[in-house]
Amino acid sequence: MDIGTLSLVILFAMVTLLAIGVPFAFVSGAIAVVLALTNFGIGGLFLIGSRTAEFVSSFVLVAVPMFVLMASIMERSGVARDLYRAFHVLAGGLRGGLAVITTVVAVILGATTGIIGGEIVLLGLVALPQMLRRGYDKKLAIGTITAGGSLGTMIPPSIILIFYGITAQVSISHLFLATLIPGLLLATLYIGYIVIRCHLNPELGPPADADELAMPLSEKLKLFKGVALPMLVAATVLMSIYTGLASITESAALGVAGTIVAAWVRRELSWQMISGALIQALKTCGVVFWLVFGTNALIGIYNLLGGIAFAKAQLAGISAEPAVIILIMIGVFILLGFFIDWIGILFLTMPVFLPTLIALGYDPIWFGIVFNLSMQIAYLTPPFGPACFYLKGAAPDSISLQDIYAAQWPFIVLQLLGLAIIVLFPSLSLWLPNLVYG
Amino acid sequence: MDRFILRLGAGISLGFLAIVIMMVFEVVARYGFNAPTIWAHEIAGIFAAVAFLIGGAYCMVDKSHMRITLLSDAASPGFRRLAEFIGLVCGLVYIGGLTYSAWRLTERSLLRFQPDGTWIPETSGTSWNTPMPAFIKAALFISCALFLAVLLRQLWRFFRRPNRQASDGDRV
Repeated sequence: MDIGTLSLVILFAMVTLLAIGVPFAFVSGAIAVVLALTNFGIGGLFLIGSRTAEFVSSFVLVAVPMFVLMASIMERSGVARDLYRAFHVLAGGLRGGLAVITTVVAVILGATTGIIGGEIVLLGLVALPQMLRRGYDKKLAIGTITAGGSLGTMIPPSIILIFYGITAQVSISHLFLATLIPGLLLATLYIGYIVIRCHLNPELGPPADADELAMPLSEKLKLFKGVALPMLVAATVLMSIYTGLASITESAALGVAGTIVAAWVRRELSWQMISGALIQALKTCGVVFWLVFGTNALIGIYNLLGGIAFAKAQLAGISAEPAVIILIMIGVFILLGFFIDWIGILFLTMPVFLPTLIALGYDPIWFGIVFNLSMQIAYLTPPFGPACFYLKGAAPDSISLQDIYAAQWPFIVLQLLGLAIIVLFPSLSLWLPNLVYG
Repeated sequence: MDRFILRLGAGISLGFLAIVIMMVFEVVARYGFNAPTIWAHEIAGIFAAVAFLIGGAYCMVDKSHMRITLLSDAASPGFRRLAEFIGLVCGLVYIGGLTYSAWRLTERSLLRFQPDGTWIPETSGTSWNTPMPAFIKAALFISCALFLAVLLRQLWRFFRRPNRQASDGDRV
C-alpha cells in the first residue's frame, strides 16, 4: 500500500473509531500498534514504548499538574465566589454591567489557571444565577460565561502553550508573554459586544437595582480584602516566570504553595480540599497525557512510514502563496475543533505544520498564539465544545445543551475577528516578548 | 482490582504535594542559601512521571477518559454494546503493545549487568547521575501492566453483563 492510500485508511479508521465513542486515548495508540506490527513486525513496537518513556521524562511537564493543582485549590476555596462578589457591586448602573464584570473576573481567574473547565463551572455557579435573576438575556449571559471562561488558556499561564512550546521547541515564557495582548484583545472584544448590544437593547442587561447602588464605597472596597492575597499569588507566579527568577515548573509549584497559604489564611484549608485537588490533578494528567502518548506513538510510526514527508509535500503543493497555506492551517484547526480536543489537534497537526511554517519564514511563537486562539473557537463549537459541556454541568436544569450551543455564535464571530487581527498583525503577539527579552 | 487502582492513584497523587515541597525547598536553597540542590528536579521528575503513567489506569477505572458519546447516546443498545466492545479491543491492542514494548525497554535499561554481575542501569548523565531513565521505563511497564489488568477486567465484566440483564428481565 502506498503512503497516500495508507494515510486515507488511517484517517478513515480514526474518524470511525472516534465517532462510535472509542476513548481518544486508545484510537491513535491502537492504530499505531497495528501499523507497527504490520509494517515492521514485533520490533516496531519498540518505538511506541521509547517515545512514551522519552515524553514523560520531560521536566517541563511537571508544571502541568502544578498549574492544575493551583487552579483546583483556588476553585475549592471561596476565592472565586468572593472575587465575583467584590467586583459585581462595581457594575453599578451600567447596562450589561454584570456581563462586563463577569468577563473581567474571567480574565483575572484566567491568570490563576492554565486550563479551562473549573473556571467555567465556577462562573456558571456564581455569575449565571446572578445575571438570570437580574433579568439578563439568557443567551448573552451563557455566551459571556463560556467565552469568558475559555480565556483561562488564553491568559497566561496556559497548559496549551506549555505543550505547544515542547512540540515546537520554543520558549514557553516567550509564549506566555506573547499571548497576553491577544488574550486581552479578545476580552475587550467581548466587553465591547456586550456594552453595544445592551446599549441598543437595554432589556438584554438591566442595570443594578437601587439598594445595591446605594452601597457606600468603603463597604464595596471591604469586599476586596479576602481576594487580595490569592491575586497577589497569581501575579507573583507570572512575574517569577517572566523575570526568569524561577523556571516555569518551580514558579508553578511556588504558586501551589502560595495558594495553600492563602487558603489557610482564609481559614478554608482542609485535608479534604487538598486531597480532592490532588486527585483532580492526577485525573487531568491521566486524561491529557494518555491522549498524548497514543498520538505521539502514531506520529512516530507514521513518520517512519514516510507519512509526514508525504503530508508536507501535499500541504506545500496546494499553493505557492504562503498566506494561503497559513489560512489552510487555520482552517484545519477550526474544522478539527468541531470534533476533537486541543491536545489531539496539536499532536496531529504540528508535526506537519511546524516544519512547513518555519520553511516559509513565519515565527513559531506567533503561530503558537494563532493556534491558541483557534482553540478558543474549538472550545465553543458544537458538537464537541468542551466549554459548553462544562457549563451544562453547572447550569440550572432549565438550560439545555441546545440553549448553550445557540448562545455561542456571536462569540465565535468575535473570536474569528480576534483571530483575523492576530494573523494580520503579528506584532500584537511578538511586541511584548521582544520588548522584555530583546 | 478497581479499589486497588483508586487507592494507588490517591497515594501516588501525594507525590504532587511532595513536588511542591521539593520545589519550594529548591528555590529557597538556591536564593536563600545560595546552595541549589542536585536532587530536587530529578526526584520531582520521577514522581510526576509515575503519576502521569498511573493516571491512565486510574481514569479507566474512573471512566474519565475522553470520548465522543454523541453518536452512541442516540444509537440502539445493541450498537452501544458493539461500540463499547470495540473500544475495549482498541484499548487491549494499544496497551498490550505498549506493555510488551515497555517490558523490552525495561529489560534493556534497568536489568543490565556486567559479565561479573555488577548492576549497571541506564543513568541520567546529570551531575547526580541517577538511574532515572531506567526507573521511568520500569514505571511505564508496571503502569501499563496495571492498565492492561483493568481493561481485561472490564472485558470480563462486559461478557458477564448480558446474562445478568437477561435474568433481570426474566424477573420482571
